[in-house]
Amino acid sequence: MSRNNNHAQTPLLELDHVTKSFAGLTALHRVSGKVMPGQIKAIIGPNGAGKTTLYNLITGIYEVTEGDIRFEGESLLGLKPNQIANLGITRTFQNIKLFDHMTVLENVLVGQHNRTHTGFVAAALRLPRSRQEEREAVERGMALLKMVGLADRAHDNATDLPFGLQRKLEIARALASRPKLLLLDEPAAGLNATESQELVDLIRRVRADGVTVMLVEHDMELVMDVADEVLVLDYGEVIADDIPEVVQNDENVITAYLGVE
Amino acid sequence: MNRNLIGIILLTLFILFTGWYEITQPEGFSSLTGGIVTFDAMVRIGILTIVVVGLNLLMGYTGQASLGQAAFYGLGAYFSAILTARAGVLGIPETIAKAWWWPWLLIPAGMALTGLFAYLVGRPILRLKGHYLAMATLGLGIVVVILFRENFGISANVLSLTGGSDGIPGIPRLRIGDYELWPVTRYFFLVWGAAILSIILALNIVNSRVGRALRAIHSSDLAAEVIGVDTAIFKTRVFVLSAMMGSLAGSLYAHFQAAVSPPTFDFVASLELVIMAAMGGMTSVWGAPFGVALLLIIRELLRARMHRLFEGAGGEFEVVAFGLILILLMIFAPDGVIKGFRSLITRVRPAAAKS
Repeated sequence: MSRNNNHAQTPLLELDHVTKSFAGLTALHRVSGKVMPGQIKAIIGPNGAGKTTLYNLITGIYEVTEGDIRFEGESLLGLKPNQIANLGITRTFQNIKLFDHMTVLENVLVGQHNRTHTGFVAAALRLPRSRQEEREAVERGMALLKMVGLADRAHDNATDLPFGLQRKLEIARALASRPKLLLLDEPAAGLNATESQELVDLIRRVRADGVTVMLVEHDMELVMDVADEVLVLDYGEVIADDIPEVVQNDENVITAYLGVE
Repeated sequence: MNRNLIGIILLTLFILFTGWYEITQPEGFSSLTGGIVTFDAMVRIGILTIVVVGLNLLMGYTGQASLGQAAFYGLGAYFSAILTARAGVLGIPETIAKAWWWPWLLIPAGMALTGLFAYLVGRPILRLKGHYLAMATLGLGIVVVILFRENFGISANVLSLTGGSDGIPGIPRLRIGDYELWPVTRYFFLVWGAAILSIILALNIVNSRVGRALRAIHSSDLAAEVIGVDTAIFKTRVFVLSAMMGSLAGSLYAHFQAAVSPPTFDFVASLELVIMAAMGGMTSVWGAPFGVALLLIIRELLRARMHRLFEGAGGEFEVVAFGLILILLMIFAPDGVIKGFRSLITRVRPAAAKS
């Protein structure tokens, strides 16, 4: 994807001088950046640079102190996390947050929550409409599980899965809501080489399906391999935002982050 | 799903058998249990099952503690009691107050009002988590009982509604036309019809989009929220639902007991409801009737047999033994008797359980 093309389009997500302070401590300082539709955008930076804080701001878990975050041109400020999810932004967590005491399939079904409508009354009475919806949701859920290779574990308890599969399931659950933008928080952490490669393939397939991906990741090889653009944070500020080749050779990045010097 | 259907059929058959035995056999149902479970107790188990099923949904599945559930039970009971037994004082014309359909109308009306009340208090207090929510619901329960005892703050000389500490006697039985749902053998079927219906509705909710959203909230509020579940709305709705089930049970209780008074709905009652839910299994709709029955049976057994075990053992020994049994149950069957029993079978016959 060439950068020149991108200038013609409106960004899917736009960070406009975003500042976040916690009781006087500035976690992010006037962070600006764009994510174009169809892009895989990586956010990197040393520990404590503010990557996860940025995710928490985008998904509405934290409130922005100053600045604006726009999704498809509309401000996300003041929206609750579930409202932001309904607009089409979902995420995974650094420390996997699967729903325990629920099966693999049920986790993916919760992912479809905003695409389904059965309420208390329809559920209690098992109205034909809600039974139909349930059947369709299960079908879609199974298709999704097949895609990530978890179909044969559909009825196992989610938290009984090995670690690598739990990561995949969390991504599948996020995808189940049909997001426009998927935020992955260190998806490769704790994965072995094979699993990492499968993850790269999965991310590419997700993008091919039309989902824009943001990726916070420490595995530089993976980032440089898969990302179209890389935004580098250091002490809460953007020090670089460009294609991987440029970022890799950026003086500031090398000193601040890669520490090759 | 099929297992639930079998459960419903078995429970219905058991209820039909119980009623039939009580009606046709001169020695009565309680003789089958050695006098431990009376037929009256069976009715009480049915009534409380409805409350505990609601508590299951709220506390077990959604993870929102309520130590004030008896308040909703009480609101339903007092609503039915006041508008029937105190209809004259309130100026409700006799043609309405004495009509057979009037108390029936009050049951859904009480549920709606209790639901509205739960909605109004639920919005703010359900923002609290864990111990704080427990404290708030505890306070709610205490306040409601004080309102009953103090005639809602109205001077009793002006208008006596609740009868203070004495409560309200003279609540009429339910009728359908001229057919009175009494003696108790008739009322029994109404109560258990309502109880079985609430079990069915609750099972349907648990195994649906709504139930999954509730369980997701229990597991991780945050993860549920970022996947698109409006956690505030779902918590409020399940709170309202559990309150309405409490109210329904309360109305049924009022027409069964024919009198209501504050202690039935106080903090100890709320605590007992939680214990019943825990004994049956917090996340088990099927646990509800068993939890209720178990608590009543244990209490009855202790009351009847304690003094035979220890000479001169009085009421305080019952409480000690009761506490001990609770501790043992929580150690050996922390997920309730149903799941405890199932895991026992699995341990004894692993092969059979798998198939």
